Order: sequence, then structure tokens, then C-alpha cells
Amino acid sequence: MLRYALRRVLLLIPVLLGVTLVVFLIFHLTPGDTVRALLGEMGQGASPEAVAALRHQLGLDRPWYVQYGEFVFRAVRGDFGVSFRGERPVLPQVLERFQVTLQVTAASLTLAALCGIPLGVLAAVRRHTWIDYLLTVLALLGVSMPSFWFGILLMHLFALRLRWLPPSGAESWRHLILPSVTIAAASIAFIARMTRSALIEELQEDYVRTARAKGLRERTVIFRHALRNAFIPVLTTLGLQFGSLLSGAVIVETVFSLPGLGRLAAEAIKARDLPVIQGAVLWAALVFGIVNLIVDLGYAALDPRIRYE
Amino acid sequence: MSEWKRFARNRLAVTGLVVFAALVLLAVLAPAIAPYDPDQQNWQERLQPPSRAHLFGTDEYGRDLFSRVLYGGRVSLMAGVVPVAGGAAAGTLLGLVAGYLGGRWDTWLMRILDILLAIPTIFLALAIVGTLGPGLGSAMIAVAVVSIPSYARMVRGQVLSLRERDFVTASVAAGAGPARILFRHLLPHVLSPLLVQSTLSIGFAILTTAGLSFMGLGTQPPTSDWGEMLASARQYLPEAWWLAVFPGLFVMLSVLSVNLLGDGLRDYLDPRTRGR
Amino acid sequence: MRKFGALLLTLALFALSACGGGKAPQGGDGGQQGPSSEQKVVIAVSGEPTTLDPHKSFSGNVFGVTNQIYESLLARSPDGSLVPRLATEYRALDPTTWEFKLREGVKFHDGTPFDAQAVKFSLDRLRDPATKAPGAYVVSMIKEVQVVDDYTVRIITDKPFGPLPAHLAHPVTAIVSPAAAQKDLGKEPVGTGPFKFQEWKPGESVTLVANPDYWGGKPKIETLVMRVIPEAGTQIVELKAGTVDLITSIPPERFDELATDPPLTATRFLGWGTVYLGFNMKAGPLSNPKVRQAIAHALNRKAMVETLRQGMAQEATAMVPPRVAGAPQGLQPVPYDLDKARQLLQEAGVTLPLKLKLHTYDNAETRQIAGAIQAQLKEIGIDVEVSVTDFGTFDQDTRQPDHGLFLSQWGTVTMDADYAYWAWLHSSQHEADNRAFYRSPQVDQWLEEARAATDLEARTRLYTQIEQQLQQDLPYLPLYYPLTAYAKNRRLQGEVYPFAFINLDLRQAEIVK
Repeated sequence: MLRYALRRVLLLIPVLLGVTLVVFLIFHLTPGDTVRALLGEMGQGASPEAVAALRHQLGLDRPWYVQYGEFVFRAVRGDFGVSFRGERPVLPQVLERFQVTLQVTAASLTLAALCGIPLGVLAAVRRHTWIDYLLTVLALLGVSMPSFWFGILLMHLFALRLRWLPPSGAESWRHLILPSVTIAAASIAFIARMTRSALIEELQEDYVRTARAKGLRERTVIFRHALRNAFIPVLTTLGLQFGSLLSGAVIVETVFSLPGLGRLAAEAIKARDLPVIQGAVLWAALVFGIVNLIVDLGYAALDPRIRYE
Repeated sequence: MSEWKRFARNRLAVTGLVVFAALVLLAVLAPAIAPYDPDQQNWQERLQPPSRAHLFGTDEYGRDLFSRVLYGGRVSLMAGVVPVAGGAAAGTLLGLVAGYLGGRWDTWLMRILDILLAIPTIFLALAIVGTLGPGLGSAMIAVAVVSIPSYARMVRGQVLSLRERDFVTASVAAGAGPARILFRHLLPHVLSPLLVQSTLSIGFAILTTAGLSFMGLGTQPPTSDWGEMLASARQYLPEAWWLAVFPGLFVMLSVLSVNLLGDGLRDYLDPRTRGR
Repeated sequence: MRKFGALLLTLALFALSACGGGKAPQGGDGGQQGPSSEQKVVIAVSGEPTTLDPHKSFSGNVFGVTNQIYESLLARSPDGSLVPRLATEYRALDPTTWEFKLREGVKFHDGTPFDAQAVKFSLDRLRDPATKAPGAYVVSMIKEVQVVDDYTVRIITDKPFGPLPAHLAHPVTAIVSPAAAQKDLGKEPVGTGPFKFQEWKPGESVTLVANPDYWGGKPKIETLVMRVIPEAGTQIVELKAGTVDLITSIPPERFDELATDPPLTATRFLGWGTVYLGFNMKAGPLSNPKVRQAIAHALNRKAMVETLRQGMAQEATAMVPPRVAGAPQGLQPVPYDLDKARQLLQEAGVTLPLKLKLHTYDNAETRQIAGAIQAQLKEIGIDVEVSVTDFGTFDQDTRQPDHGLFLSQWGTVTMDADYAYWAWLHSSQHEADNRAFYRSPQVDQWLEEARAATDLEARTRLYTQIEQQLQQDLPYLPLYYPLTAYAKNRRLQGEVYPFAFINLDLRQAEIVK
């Protein structure tokens, strides 16, 4: 098990290299002039000579593989370069932003799992009753509601009308409540639906019938046996959700003025700030890989039949 | 008992089917139903609340929102279904292969998918759209590609736990080839979580396409999908609530109906509930 | 069932939005919560500063903050004239030599004195390729900065360059402390401005405090917080909740609501921006001037301004708004006349429907106007395909020799006409911002004359001539000048908001109870 985990961590290295290469290639394949994007709307008026000079100073006039080689060479030594927009070092920026994203993601997914799994179980057990139907419809409302819209509603209600919570920002834990609830709203449904369907699946398995035939209490059958197996797809879903949320929920971070990783990446993409894009994507990929590893190890913990040698 | 009757026992599923069919019908028949040209601007009538003349009110150019929602359905339903179908098909195939073959194949396939999965959705989508040029087609391809890894992972997770089960080992012992095992034995078992995820993803696809449209990378003016309408309504909220509520309602109805339908299909296709 | 309750709440909120429209309560307690007795002002900014070093970036988000910390030699006053800031007077000794007398007794925030060496250091730093300053082009005409004595510098340009003083009022030409520049100005900015740097939470806020030794007297505001709030709707909620004192982005539809809310006030006025349509004069049907004129007549710019932009804009008659120094005078806009437009298209002999592509980049305003242009040109039989992309792609697309129409925004940040006209029209700028590929030896000559001249009246005459020529040639069609708007809580008084947020002057501002 430990050796497996170690191997997986080592396998992350080629993945991360692959990610940086893909980002690099994409960056050089997509149309758009980096220097011009950097100068932005306000920088219209720069002469062709000035643009060419700036391109040279930033090293962007070299072939992409030279630039990539340099990036890898430096990154290996822990130097992720500086932003094109103001020369701030990339790594501390990414780490600062990641903290905020991590807090919000953890809070929202905990909330979502705490609501979603019991709801899913309830729906599965009371399958085809009005409770199941109601939960299905409510869950779907959460998924199909655009997050910015729900976020704006929450903000108007709790910050402007009731004045219970601050509208936006990241100063205290109270600032994080509304964005967490907004993100959770969509995830609850996803988790509840996955739990419901996986549990229904398991409840039809032979071992459940056997357990029931043995006269075990229904509660024991569901919670000790079926749910345990049903957790595999649920865990996969949770892991994927967690992983993708960690790269930042751009819209929610924008609506609630949160200095998260998603906004950092989105702004960098817009400005074609390659070092920051590279840093943010790399970090997101690393975290994602680790989360996935944990999920895979979780499989083995839940299902003794799965072994990693 | 006829197949249809067996399916029709699930009343919610039938409701889903009816609603979804109705939405598709509305989209197809939009030219006949829409009271106005959806692109006809009339600035004097901009941002009017719903009235008898304009059932859903008017937008920032004074265009009839009802007509636009009908026409927008054509784009949204396509943007919801096509990428999900493409992404699910490709992802399932990869997941089945990886999970079944295991070993090095599994490791490398999953690592490559990890690369894809690890790159944040929006960046990958931006890159694909950036390379292919903005437009609905590019947006759909982007959403499909982005969704491949999650299907693959999910299917693989299932296959991993199924691989060791008796019915698989038994058919291996009986000399069944890998194709037969994959498609006859494993696929039916992953079908139900797959359907659940796919149906849920239709909503996700509609909203992701909307996000791309909002960044100027999906539908281009004057065409709008529901998501783009929702997103551009943002700056007129909370006053012009109708701009967000009606497209939102249609997104919700379509997501709800495909989900109910998916549930029904799930029961219907499940091999264990078949002869019952 | 607590979780169930959360879902019910979700549903209830949804219903609330559908029925009540989520309307916020008007007036009442709005904005009166927590008025601080202390002199603390919170300003909402739309984008985050990526550095606090004015030479290392070129964005309004950065200058909005750095302009409170640093100062340039000169500044633009609201009446459009150049006024002394760190320089007290200036004159041209000959067409390429300018002498600046500097203010005496000024200290940087780190206690080091401001003098001629600091000016030379700052301008040289901005021009030095090693600085990698994106805004270096603003001072690229400077050949040398000479220190005459402690409080006199001479700036020598390679060619006669009349707008030099205007360029030295640009926020990128901020004078930085040479001592502090040895460390990292991006994180620890040191200037001479009314506010000193205190704390920076990246992505979230920058906090400044009053500079007690400011040469113009200590500002009344003790603490100035710039909070990054990207979403305009959120800025409005924050302003109404009283957690923010001044907001800088207001959607046109929300202006009246803010202007009439009792604790608040909203203001709008002409700034330095222009929204314009560009034509590719080199290729395709647009190379025919009649087609360009037809398009100009087919656009109802008055309605665009009054209805679509809700009065948050002014119909344009020239490429730069009238507040800009040297802006052309006495011009009339091209009238809206569909018959004329159709007739011109017929004379041009193009087959209808004519297909054209319009490039623009993504922001709510350009997208909206692109949609409007598309609908209006349809009336005269032109089918416009709109392509909305990010700015980098837009920029690349419109440099292609076969692009069609493009819609863009421009800010004449130096408030001098040369800044816009040269970049747009001079034939040497085809690789840069002359994306109409306009080439006119006559206009080139006028541009060069206007650039060499120092007399404002003579320059204004030249730019008026140029603009008259443009109305015939139509490389660009200026559509309108967007207004600068801001809203504030009434407890903030005394702020001077000349053209844009970048040059907001809070030296005399205060919180009143």
C-alpha cells in the first residue's frame, strides 16, 4: 500500500511535466499577441518598435522550446518565475490564493457531503415515494441554478436586506459563508444523486438479499453493507468535485470578491500572463493528483477486493 | 408486457420524457410559434417587464424574450446533448479499457487523462476555443473534451470493483474474449451510473457553454443560448429579473426532464430488473 | 431535517427572485450602518493591481493605486490644463530641450529628499530596457535627462515633441525614491504622494495611510483602503450596505437608482475615452469609401447614446473627446440617414446582402454595441458577422491585412490629442494601432507639424484639419465618448475626480458626519 502510494506520487512528476507542456503548447498555438495583451486596452498607442523591444526584454521572441526548457530548468529548482504584469514572484501568489480557495472548497464540500449523502440515502430507501420525488426535484434545482444568480440572491438577502453577513470579501470566516453555500448548492445535488443511484444499485445485489434473508435489520443492511459499497462511485464524484473546485470557482470568486486561485488564473489567462498561468495550473494539477491518489487509496479501504500491489 | 408499458410504469420518467419532448418540440417549431423575429431590435421597448405583448418581457435591445428563449432552445439543447454524448462515449471507452486491462495500460491512460483533468476546465476550454476560433462548434468540442476524463475515471472505478466479481471471472474462465466481457458484461453494469452522470452533465454542459458564451467564446451575436441570456442578464439584475428567470426556468426544466428520463431509463435498462 | 431546511431555503430564495425581483429595500437604513467616526475611506476598484511599482506595469488598476502613493512632475487639472505637481514650472529652451524647476523641500516616504537626481533616476529607470517597463514607450522620445542643479532638470528629446509635458503627467512617469528602488518597489512602494503604503493583501485590498509630511499638507483622510471588487453588482451592494464609500463602475441602468438613494450620490461626466468603429481601408469592400460612408450614415448614434447607453455617453464628433488638449472644434457628427446610406451602397456598386466581419473584444459594452451595429447595418442590407474574443486575440485579428470592421475603445490618457491621432493615423503605425491601414502623406505631415508645435491653438487647428480630412476618408468612425461615472456615500466629501479613477485626487477629501 505504501509502496503503491509512493509510486503514484512519483508518477505525478510526468503528469505535471505533461501539464506544463500542454499549457505551453496551448499558449503558443492559440492566436493572440502576448505583449499586446500585456499592454492591454490602455497600452494602445505603443509603437511597433516599443512592442518589439518589450517582446525581446521578456524573452518572448525565442522559440517556444527554448522558453519551455528554461521554465523546466528553473522550476526544478523551485523558481517559477515572475508575473509579466509587475514581476511579482509566481509561487507566493499562487500559495496565497490557494489558501482562500481551499477554505471555501473545504467548507462547501463538507456542507455538500453532509447534506447530499443523507439525502441520497433517504431518496434511495424511500425510492418512488413522494420524498424521493421531492428530493430529486430539489436537488436538480440546485444543479440547474446558475451560481452567479444564486450568489447574487444570497447576497441581496443576507447582506443587504437582513444585514446578517458582509456582502463580499475574505476578511473573516463570516465572509466565506455565502460563497460556500453558493458552491455547495450545486454539489449537494450531484452528491445526492450519485449516492441514491449507487445505493439502489447495491441494494439489488445478492449479498444484500442474503443479508436480509439472514434476518439482519434493514438499517444494518443499508448502513453496514450496501452503503459501504455504494461509496465507491460517491467517493469518485467527491474527489472529482473537490479537485475541480480547488482550481477555483471563478464565477463565485468574482461575485463575492474572493482572492482565490480561480480568479488569479482567469485574470492571468485574459492578460496572457504565462508564468502565472503556468504556476496556477501546475499547482491545481498537483493538488488534483494528490486528491485523486487519496480517492484511489480510499477505494481499497472501502472494498477489500480492490488491492494495489 | 410491452416494452413501452414497462417503461411507462415509472410516472416521473414519463413526465420527464414529455417535458423534454415538449422542449425539443418548442425549439423545433420556434419559427412557427415565436410571435416576433428573435433578432428584431426595438430600442424604444427595451427592458420591458412581461406583458401581454411580450410574454417574457424584452431584453436590453428591446427584443422579445419569449421568441429568443424559443430560438435559444435550439442552441442550448444541442449544446447540452451533443458534447455530453461525445464526451461520454469517448470517456466510457477509455475507462472500460483502462479498468479492464489494468497494469501499465491503466497507469498510462489514467496519467494522460490526469493531465487533461488536472488542467482547469476553463483554461482547457479557452485553449480549444482559442485554437479552433470562437463559435458554438468549438464550444461544444471543448465541453466534450473537458468531460472525457471524468467519465473515464468513473467508469474505471466501477470496472475496478466489478473486475474481480464472480460473473466476470466466470466468463473469463468460460473463454469469453475481452470485447465480449467489456461490452456484454461490464458495460451494462456501468450504464446506470453513466446515465446518471450523463443526464446531470447535460445541465453542466448547457451552463459551461453559457460560461464560454459569456467570455465571448461560445455563441456569437445575435444568436444566444439560454446560458448566454442568463449570463448577460447579470448586469441588469435585480431590476430586470425576467431576463434571468425565464431562460433559467428553461434550463431548469430541461435539466430536470433529462434527469427524470435518465432515472426511468436506468430502471428500464438494468439487467436485474428486466424480466420483473 | 436541518439540511432539508437548507434546500427549502434555496427554493424560497428562488421564489423570491421570481416574484419580488429580489428588489433591495430603498432608502430607510440603507447605507447608514457603521459610519466610522474615524477618517477611513474604502474605495471599490474593479481590477486588482498586480504590482505597486508604477514602472513595471501598464494598467489602470495599478495606476489607480500608485497615483495615490507617487506623483509625476505635472498633473492635469479638471479644466484640462497642465498644473505643477513635483515640478513648479517648465519651459522649452529650444524645440528639443525642456527645463523643469522642481519643488523644494519635498521628501519621499522613506525620508530621502526629492531632487533632480531622483527625477533623472526615475525617468531613466522607466526608459531602461532592463526595467522591462511596458509603459516605456510613453517616454521613448526622451534622449537624455540632465541634472542642472539639485532642483533643475533638462529633458532632451530626439525630435521636437510638443506634447512632452502632457506625457510627464501620465501616471507611468511617476517619480520613485531611488533608495527604495534598490529594494522591491512592487511590494514596498515609496513615493512623494499624499498617501503612504501600509499593507497589501493581494487580490483583496491595498491599505494606505496619510503622509504626515506631504508637501501640500497632511490629507484629512487617515486611512485609505482600495478593495478589489470585480463585479459591478457587488460594488453596488457594498456601497448600499455602507461597507464601501466610493465605487468606480456603474452599469448605465443602475445610475439613477444610485443617484436617488438618499445617503448616496452618483456623478457622471465626460472623460478621456472614445468608442469607435474602424474600417480596413486596404482590402475588401470597405476599401471603397462609399461603403464606409454608407455605414456611417446607417448607424443611429444618437439612439445608441440615449437609449442603449442610457445617457451614459455623448455622441462623438471627433476621435478624441473635447476635453482633450488639441481636440478638434466645431465639427458636426455624420447624420443618421438611411436613404443616403442605401443610395451610397448602390453607388458603390456592391451586391447585397454584403457580408462583413466585425471584430471586437469582450466587455459588456463593446458586446452590446456590436450587437446594435449588426442590427442597424442589416437595415441597409449588410450582414455583419460578429466575432467577440479576448483582447489579445482581437488585437491579433485586427492586425491581419484582410480583417473587416472592428469595434474598440480608446483612452487618451495623456489628455493630449497627439497620443490618439498619431497612433491611429500615422503611416508609420501600421504594425501598431493604425489598424485601418490609413495612409495619407498630407495627414502624416499635419501630424508631424502638430507634434513639433508647442502652441496649443496652432495644434488645435491642425487636429481640426486632420479630423475634417478624416470625415471624408473615414478610416474610423468615432461613435461616442463614454462618460466616467462614480457613486459615493455622502459622508465622503471633497474628492476631485478629474477624468478617470486613475487620477482621483483625495488630498482635500474627508469624512463628514
